[in-house]
This record gives sequence, C-alpha cells and structure tokens, in this order.
Amino acid sequence: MIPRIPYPALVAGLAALAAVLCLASVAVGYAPFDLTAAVDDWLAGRATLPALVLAELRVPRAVLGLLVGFSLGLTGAAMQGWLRNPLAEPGIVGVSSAAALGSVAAFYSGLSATIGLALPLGGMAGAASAALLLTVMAARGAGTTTLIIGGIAVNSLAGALTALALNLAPNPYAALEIMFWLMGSLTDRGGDQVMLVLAPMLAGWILILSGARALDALTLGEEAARSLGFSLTGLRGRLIAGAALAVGSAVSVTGAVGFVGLVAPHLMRPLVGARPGRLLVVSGLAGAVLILAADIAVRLLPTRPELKLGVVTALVGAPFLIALTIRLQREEP
Amino acid sequence: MRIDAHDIAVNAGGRPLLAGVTLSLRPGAFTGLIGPNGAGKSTLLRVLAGLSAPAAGTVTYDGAPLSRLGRRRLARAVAYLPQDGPVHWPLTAEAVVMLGRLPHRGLMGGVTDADRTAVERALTITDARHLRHRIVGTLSGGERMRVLLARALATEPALLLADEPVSALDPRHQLAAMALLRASARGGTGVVAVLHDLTLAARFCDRLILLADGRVRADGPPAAVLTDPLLAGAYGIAVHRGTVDGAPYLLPWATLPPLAEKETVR
Amino acid sequence: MTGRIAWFLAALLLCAGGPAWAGENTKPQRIVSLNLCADELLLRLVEPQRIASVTWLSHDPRASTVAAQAAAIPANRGLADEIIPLRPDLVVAGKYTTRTAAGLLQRLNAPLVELDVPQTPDEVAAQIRTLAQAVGEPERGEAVIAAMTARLDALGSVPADRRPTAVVLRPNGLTAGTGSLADALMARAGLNNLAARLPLAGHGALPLEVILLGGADLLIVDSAPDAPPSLAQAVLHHPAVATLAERVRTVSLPARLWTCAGPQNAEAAALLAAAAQEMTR
Repeated sequence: MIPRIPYPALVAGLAALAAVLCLASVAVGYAPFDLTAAVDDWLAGRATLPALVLAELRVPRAVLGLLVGFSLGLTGAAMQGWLRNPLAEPGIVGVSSAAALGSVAAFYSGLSATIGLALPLGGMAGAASAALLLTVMAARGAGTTTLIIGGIAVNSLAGALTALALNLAPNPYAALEIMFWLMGSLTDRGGDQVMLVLAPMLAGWILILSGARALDALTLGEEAARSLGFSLTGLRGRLIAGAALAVGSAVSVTGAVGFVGLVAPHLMRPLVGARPGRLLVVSGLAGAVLILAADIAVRLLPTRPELKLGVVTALVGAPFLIALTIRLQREEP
Repeated sequence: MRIDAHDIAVNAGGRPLLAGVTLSLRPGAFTGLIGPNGAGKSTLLRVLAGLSAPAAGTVTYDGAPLSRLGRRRLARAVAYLPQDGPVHWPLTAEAVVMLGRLPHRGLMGGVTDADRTAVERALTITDARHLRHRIVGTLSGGERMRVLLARALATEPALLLADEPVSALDPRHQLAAMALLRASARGGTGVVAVLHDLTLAARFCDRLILLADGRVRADGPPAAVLTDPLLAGAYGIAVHRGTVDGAPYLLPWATLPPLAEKETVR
Repeated sequence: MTGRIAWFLAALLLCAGGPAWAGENTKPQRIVSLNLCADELLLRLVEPQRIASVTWLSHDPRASTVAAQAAAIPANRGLADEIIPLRPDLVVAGKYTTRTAAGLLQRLNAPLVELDVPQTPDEVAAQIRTLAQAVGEPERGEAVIAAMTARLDALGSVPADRRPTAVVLRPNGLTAGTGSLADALMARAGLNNLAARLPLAGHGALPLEVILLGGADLLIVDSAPDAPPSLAQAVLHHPAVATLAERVRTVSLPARLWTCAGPQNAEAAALLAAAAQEMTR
C-alpha cells in the first residue's frame, strides 16, 4: 500500500517544490550573476544590468516553465480521465504537434508580428483540430491501439506539414528551426511571451478544472456518469476548449515538449487514490516541477548550445511509455 | 419520485426495439423486468433512466419531462446501475461508493456529513464495510457487485434502475443480492431490476413486467405474470412448479416447438 | 537521379572538346558561382554577360550587396544537376559549401576555384587578387583592392587605451568570435571585441544573458528589420535587448556588409569606426 498523504498536504508540498525549483531556475544561468544584488536593484527600481537580466530573462523563463508545465500536466491528467486511458497525453495523441503546426503557420507567415495574439491563437487552432479529431477517433471508446495509431497519424501529418511550412517560409533561418517546434525550449524567452499566454492558459485551466467532478463520475463509464447527472457533451466541449487554450498557448511560445502530460499523472495517480478529479491539480503541479527541473538540467549539462527541453523529457518519459505499454498489454490481452 | 412511461417506441436500424410500452413505477416496490433475450429490457431501462430518448412516447418524472426536470435533479432521484459497470481506475471501494454522492455535491463544496452518513449506510446495507479500503479491481464478482450497488444506493434515490444486477453472481451471492434489493425496496427505495432468473424473480419481486418483442405482455404480481401461457408465449418454455414452505417456485423445464409457441400467443 | 547524371555524363562526352570548354589562354565566358560571397566578387570583377549562374541568395537584397546586378542572371541552388547543362568554363565555389556539386564538377574537368574564408582585410585582398586572375581581370582586381584599402586606411585611429568594448549580436544569438573577419574589422575600426573575454564565445552562439552582462559599451546588431519572421531573428527583438539598446550605444549593421569578404567590408569598418570615434570624442 502506498502511504496516504492527505490531499491538501500533497498539493501544498508540490506547490512548495515547484516554488523552490522556480527560485533555483532563476538562480541558474550562464553569466556570473549576483542574484541578491539583482533582486535588490530590481525591487528598488534601479535598472542595472543584473536587474535587467533578472526581470527580462530569468524570471520570465522560470514563470514560463511553471505555466507550461502546469498546462501540460493538467491537460494530460484530464485527457487520461476523459478517455480512461493512461496513455492519453497531448504529445502522444498529437495535440502538441498540431499546436506547433498552428503556431508555425501564425509565426512564419508574419501574422503574429502584426497581431501578437495570433501566435497563441494559431497554437490553439492546431490543438483544437487535433483534439476534435481525437474525439472522432475515440467515439467508440479509446483503446490503447486507437490512441497510439491515431497519435502516430496526427503526429506524422503535423510534423510533415510543420517541416513543409518551415521550408516554404521566406526566411533562410526558418528551415533550421524545426527542432524548437518539435522538441521545445525555454531559451531566451521573455516577459512578452508570458503576458501573451497567461490569460488563455488560465482560462484553459479553469475550463479543465471545472470538469473534475464529471471526470470522477466517468470512472464508472459513460452511462453511469450521465446517470449521475453529468452532460458528457458539455464535458467534452470544456476539455477540448481547455486543452486547446492551455496546450495551444504553451506550445506557441515554447514548442512541443513531450511526455510531461504522460509522466506527471502517472507519478501522481497513486498519491491521490487514482481519483481523476483530484489528479488534475497535482498533475499540473508535477508537470511544472518536471519542466522546471528539465530546464535547470539543460543549463547545468555541459552541452552547448543547450539541449532542447524535449530531449530531456523524452529521455525520462520514453522509458515510462515503454513500461506502461508493456503493463497495459498484460492487463488487456 | 414516480416514473410514467407512455406509449414508448424505440427503433434501431429500422427495427422496432420497443413499441407501445406504457407503465408506471413507484418507490417502495421491487419490480422485476423479465423477458427473453432481445425483448428490449435494457433498452426500456435506459429510456426510463433518461439515458436515451424514445423515438415516440413520453417519459415523465413526477409529471415533468427530463427537459424540465434537468439531468442533475433526475440523478438525485433515480440511480442507474449499468450491466457489468466498469471501474476504470484503481479506486478504493469507499471512493467508488462516494461517487454515488456526486449528484448531491455542489460545484465547489467538499464532502459533507450527509455524504459520509449515506456512504456508511450504503456500505452497511450491502455488507461491504470491510471492503472499503480494498481496490475495486481486486474484488471478487460478488464483492464488486455489492460495492457497485452501494454506489447506487449511496445516492439515496427514490428509484434504483439496475440492469441484470445478479446475472454474473454465483447462487449464494444471487440470493444475497436479491434479498438486499428487496430489503432496499422495503426501506423505501423502489427497485427495478432486469432479471433473467425466473425462480429468483418469482420469489423476491413484488411485481413483474414481462416484455417480449418490444411490447409489454404482462404486468402485475408474479403469480399473475408467470403463468404457463404467458411463459410459453414469451419464452417458448414449459416450467415445473412446486412449493417450499408454502412459497411457490418454478423451474424452466422444457422448450416448446416454435409452432406451439405461436398458437399459444394467439 | 543517377540516371540523369549518367545521361549528362554521356552528353558531356559527346561535347568534349567543344568550344564552351575554354582553353588556358582565353578569359572564361561561362562562369558559374556556387557561393554567395563568390557571386558578389564576380559581379564586381567581370561583366554580367560572362556569368552563367549565381546562387539564389544573391537575388535577395537583404543578404546580398549585388542583388540588382544579379537579378538578370539565372540562379542556382548549388546542385550539380543545375550546373552541368550550363557547361561552365569556370566554377567558383566556397571551400566549405556545396562540396558534393563542386567535387562532381571537378571530376568533369570544369576548372574550379575554391574560395577560403578570409579572416583579415589582407586575406580579403589576396582572395580578390586570386579570383581576378582566374577570371582574367587582374587590373580590375587591383582597382577594387586599391579602393578598399584606401577606404580602410582613411579610417581614423583610436588610442588603444580608450577603445570602446563592443559585442556583436547576430540571429540565433551568434556573436563574432575572435579570429573572424568581423573581429578583424572591429579591431581596424578601433573597437575591442567583448567576445574575446567571454567564456563561451568559442561556441559561437551565446545565451542573451551572457551578452547582456558582458558589459559592452557598444552593441552591434546584425539586423534586418524587414526580414521575414524567424526565431533566429526574434532574439534580436527580445525585450532585454531592446532595454540594453536604450542604455548603450547601438549600431545596426546590415549582415551583407561583413558576412562575405569583399570591398563592402570597408563600409562596415567605416560605420563601426564612426561609432567608435564618436564614443571616444
């Protein structure tokens, strides 16, 4: 038996861990940097160079890591609850790569240079299309095979179209930037990106969290959930919109970071007695912890230029996926 | 809560599953829904539970249609127990039973004393208190059935609609479950259960509704429904009858040729 | 693909000795360039009619200083398939680019000139001289060199102890490292290159915070404000760079002026020298 940690203590502990990692993320960097002096300068309103680096580079990077990690972890938990399959995850089912495609279209067409919000909107449109496609594929139940094959199809298509869009982009650098969109990175992100995605992400979180009770009820299957008073069409609408808002905006500023939505719910499920509703917030926090830790790792590892975030999360996440697949195969022969 | 179904028709793929079904259900009785395979029992139960809309006819709850009542208010009054209901995550029995309280909980509010009391009561009625910390996936069929029944009873509904609640159980657990459903009906919650075992239906139910070919063939006390002509007409069987301590029982004994079946129907 | 190459090889055998494959003494008349930097030099040294093809990059005014002259010349993307039918009598390639095409053309006996990447103005002059000889225009070569040298010599000097420190910020956070032509031009303009003191400069790309905290007096932004969007160039518009640009002097230097070796380098040096002198005045 897993030792039962009371839910409020679990949430508080994870939040504290995420906060500590946020601070660590701010403290880790490349240039020699007096953090306390920078904080003093910043608080005192002195626009020194360290204060500038703190305010414009390090804090936005940490905050963005927190937001993106929470979005991915939360969405992963919600999708798993909705499809009642522990392999459902924005990356595996193709929502993230479709969001990357939408963002690429908005960015390289020059649309987002004119209208800033076009970037997250492009990501959301991509994510929403993949999520809608997923509902069609999963209409008769989302078996593991359906999920994986559907995910392969959507991921390949979105990846190919992303490569095509980048090759067609008029800027010669564009073709080299596919790694960012498919693997994700927080390098040199700034406060403007945080401000761009904060509101849509929060809206997405609220939509997803409002489905907590319905996800609990879905444990008993769709018929029982409806008989318990929940509208499944309403839930589906909220989850698709929530996933599109949260994942679409996350991917539009950091690229598609994989496996967070898979690993976070998987690690947290035993700690909340497998209750899908309670899994949401803790998975979000665990996702934030994972992204922040991965982003600290890419800066501490001696590889330059630094590794893409998705490389680290895949190194951790892919073995998870393999183990999960083997276990599911044993359970549903 | 009283459910009135009037002239219900349901079609699937151009074939009528239910036609002209009219019946009323009230709390306080244990009603068995019987009939041969494909008679439309599960379909009727789902229509009564508001889970599928009939092609024709009306279902009202205390005189109000579902559209006026709302799914949430219906969920507090009518519980539905699907056949072979899944439990998708490794929840404890207690957590599963607590799911039955969802219709009573507000959007944000936590678990109230009323919720805890109802869960305790449901676990007690179903003799499942000792299972509360077990993971549902590790339970035996009988234990699992009791936990799922406790989930439905925890809602404290006026009516419980159960689809084949005892079919998967061994004889001992079947007897125990039927007694439990009857006790629950006596306690105020009306129970409507789809049943296949005529012997159990005859012994435990207060009322039987016999469906065949999507129509109600008989509706009344077991003695009035389980007659030779009706059973021959609906199931195409002959039964053996007897009494134990004054209580009647019947055993399906022989199949009847199709021709005789048709003649009997007329 | 192989089939097409074989077809061309057969065709070339039939044409062998034909008039297009020029002898030693005549000036090449069908010059093909496989490198943007070669495009620029060629267009300064020979009449456009003698150039059979230039790279597609030289048609882009943001990347090339000779876009106008190049516009009428067919473009190539460095593929052997494109070059062979042109029957070049001289191929100019970069030493480190389009290796496959250059190697194939060499096997077909097309005369090949390979351009190295010069690291100093003197090496630039030497390269111009080599190429001018290859195309049979040594006088024009000397004239170009003379103009460039004169312009560089005319740059004012800044005392070594008063030189401002400058850092170059290019797309993708790339900087001009020590040993690069840009570094030499900065030195000639009277600037100290911050990259020389940065720990990570050897890797080329620098995290923004390293550039910010380096403490340069002058920020040289390799900008192309009208370029189509790319993440690489988005770095140049990062709010932190914008804030830094308000605090230290910033020079916007078009990449085309010092990406390639050529007389345009003098213009880059002049822009930098003007900033350096204004700062030390």
